[in-house]
Amino acid sequence: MAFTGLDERKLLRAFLEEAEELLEKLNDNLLRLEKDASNPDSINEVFRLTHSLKSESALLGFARLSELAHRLEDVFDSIRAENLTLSRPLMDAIFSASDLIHEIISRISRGQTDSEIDTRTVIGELEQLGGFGFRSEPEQSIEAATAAAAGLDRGEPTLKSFQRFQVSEALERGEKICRLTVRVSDEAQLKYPRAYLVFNSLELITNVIHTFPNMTVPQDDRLYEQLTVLLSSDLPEERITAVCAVDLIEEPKLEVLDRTQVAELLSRRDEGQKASVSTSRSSRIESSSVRVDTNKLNEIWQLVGELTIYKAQLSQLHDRLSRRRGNESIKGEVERATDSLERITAEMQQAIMGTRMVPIAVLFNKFPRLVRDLSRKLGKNVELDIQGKDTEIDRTIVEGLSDPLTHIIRNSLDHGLEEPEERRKANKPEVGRISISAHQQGGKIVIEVADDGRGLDVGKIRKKAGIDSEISDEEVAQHIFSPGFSTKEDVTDLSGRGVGMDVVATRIREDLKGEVDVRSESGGGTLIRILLPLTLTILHSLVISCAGYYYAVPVQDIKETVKISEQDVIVEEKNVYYDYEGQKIAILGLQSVLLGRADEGAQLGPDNDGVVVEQRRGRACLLVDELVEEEDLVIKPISDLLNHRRLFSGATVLGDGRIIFILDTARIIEIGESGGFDGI
Amino acid sequence: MAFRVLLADDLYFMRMVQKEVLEAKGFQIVGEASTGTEAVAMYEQLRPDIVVLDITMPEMNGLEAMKRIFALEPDAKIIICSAIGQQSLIVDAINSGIKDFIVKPFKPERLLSAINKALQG
Repeated sequence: MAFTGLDERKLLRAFLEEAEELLEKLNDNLLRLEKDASNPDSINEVFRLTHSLKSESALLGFARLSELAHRLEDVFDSIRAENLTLSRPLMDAIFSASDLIHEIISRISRGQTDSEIDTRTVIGELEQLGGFGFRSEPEQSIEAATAAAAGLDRGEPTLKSFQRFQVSEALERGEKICRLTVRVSDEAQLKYPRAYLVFNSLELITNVIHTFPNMTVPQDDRLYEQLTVLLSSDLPEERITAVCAVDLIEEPKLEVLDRTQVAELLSRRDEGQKASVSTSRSSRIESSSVRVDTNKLNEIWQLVGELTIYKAQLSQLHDRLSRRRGNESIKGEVERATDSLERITAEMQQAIMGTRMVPIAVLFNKFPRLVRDLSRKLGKNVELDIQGKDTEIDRTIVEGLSDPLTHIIRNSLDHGLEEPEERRKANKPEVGRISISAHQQGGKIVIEVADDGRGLDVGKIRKKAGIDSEISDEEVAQHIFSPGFSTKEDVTDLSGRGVGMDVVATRIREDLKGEVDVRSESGGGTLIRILLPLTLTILHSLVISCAGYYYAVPVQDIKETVKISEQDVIVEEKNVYYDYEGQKIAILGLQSVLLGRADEGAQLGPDNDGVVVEQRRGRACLLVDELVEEEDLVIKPISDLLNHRRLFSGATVLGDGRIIFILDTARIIEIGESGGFDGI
Repeated sequence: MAFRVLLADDLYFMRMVQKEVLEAKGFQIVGEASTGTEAVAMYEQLRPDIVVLDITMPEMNGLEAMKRIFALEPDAKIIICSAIGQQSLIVDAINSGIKDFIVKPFKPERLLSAINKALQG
């Protein structure tokens, strides 16, 4: 038995007493489920009961009983998660399992063990009906994962631009750059949360720059047998290593990097994505999931993307075919086949997209603690409200969002919210409020961080940036995101935000293809809003044609497509405007823009197709030859050589090698507002 | 003076095991709660040095109880008792400020070591 030195007989008696009660409840609930298979209370109760039985019997060393209970728990876990329905044959298997448990318990109560009882048949049945694969010993595959992990460059990370910025900022503040390594004991059953204990404590007292393995999004648990954290701090070394005083955390090693090491770190550049750890040899990780190399997923994605393009071509062929006479029966068949293909491609795309999505909770969940501890450190009372944790977002976006969002929240706490004294004087509740929320809006994810602090001092920003009084306060506030706007001295001076907000914005706009803006009211708080695409790889686009070539406009940027005739147009000097919803917006001929002659003004025919595009900074109307159709395109980056005027945000390649360029609408609006290339 | 411990688990058996282990090492068990609601009430009344809190409990689960205890005492020392499938709940709890967690079924030294380390920190 697992407990030596304790009064085993007493334990056993307690176990049997409790087990009897558990079995009674189990039986009642199973009978209830037989009448109503979807009763959620009973499903949850059975899950809880089998879970208890599993833990208790394992503790006393009844391995077979524990395994049987465990398998039942798995089944009910899947039913709870709606991955499995309670069919008649499954119900029968569950009853056999329950009978077997009764039998084992009565044996144990007679002083026998569970070792002679054959549980394999029943377990096999549960596994088969529950859709679980055969469970081999997980230990066999650990080696493979470890070997793969060891092959990774764990000690010498390649830093992303934001992380490099953090390093140089830290050096400027006079902090040390350190590398902390710990081992998570082999005895630890859940290594990721255990490593997380250390990571979380570090995040609270130091500035964590990089971790290996990634701590924001959990990876295969076996990778976390070692954790390496790159951080900056001005605390004494023993304060930092003190966070390693956690059960099953071993061999803490803190290394303060010297100048050469830091320089070397900063000089490393991202050499493309490192192959992720492939665990093809260790195929079983959890009952319901399997790890796949992200490169393989991307490959599948790419292929589905091409499929959508051919699907579109086929639809067009079908349209042409249907305009001709004859062959009616074949036309009908082609139509049905095309429809099915369309539906399946769409579903396939959805399904593959799903594999990349994770709930944003993986990121949001670290904020309560961050806010709690930071607020205590700063002597401020803060209430944190989090909404929309279930919102799903692309895994790579979550990873990229972690640092900027943490930065924004730290700023809110540090500079946005006032000291309790100041809040009292301003007749505000002493407890400050920060709310973080996420929701999906159309094809975008909206993330908002709001505080009820003192707000931005727009006057000071105006003065500092030398902006005249015609510009609205709202626009002036956006200057906190301008490159190079904030420097260290300005921060405290500017009543607020500003620390590295330009870097935050660059990260969101350039790396994540998102948008960020700020709304602020003096004394009434600040709201930072981030708009992100659902994914960085597939873009829902409107394909248009111009001078015989195809281009794509992201649908998320399109306000409307319009027909424009001469009377809708306002001409001022050489610029042409369109009166759109009472707003004067620039009309740009796509061809002139592409040729670099946007300043020549658009040439209008009697009836033109226009696409009104919209970004945070404004709108423009783009004249095109033809609207072709909406497509989901797989985006690939393009080289600067092909894009020296930055008109495109990417491109997609068709199977036959033709390229569709994706127009960068922000850039086109910029051109429209400045009256052609000369103004830029 | 002995450290004062509050145990919270809906299973009497589990509490008994923990009690045996801890009392053998000189800890004082000041209270035993079998629901989350009880755990919070007992915490408020007894103000123990440390709480061992099971996640899965009827009425109010361990995580909710944890939140309420932190609301009463932000520096409360809490160890969560969990099962292998509850990884994301554990991470939530770490973010909220628990000192450590133990995974069921556990060996006595895990409980002791986690409690000792948490009381030092």
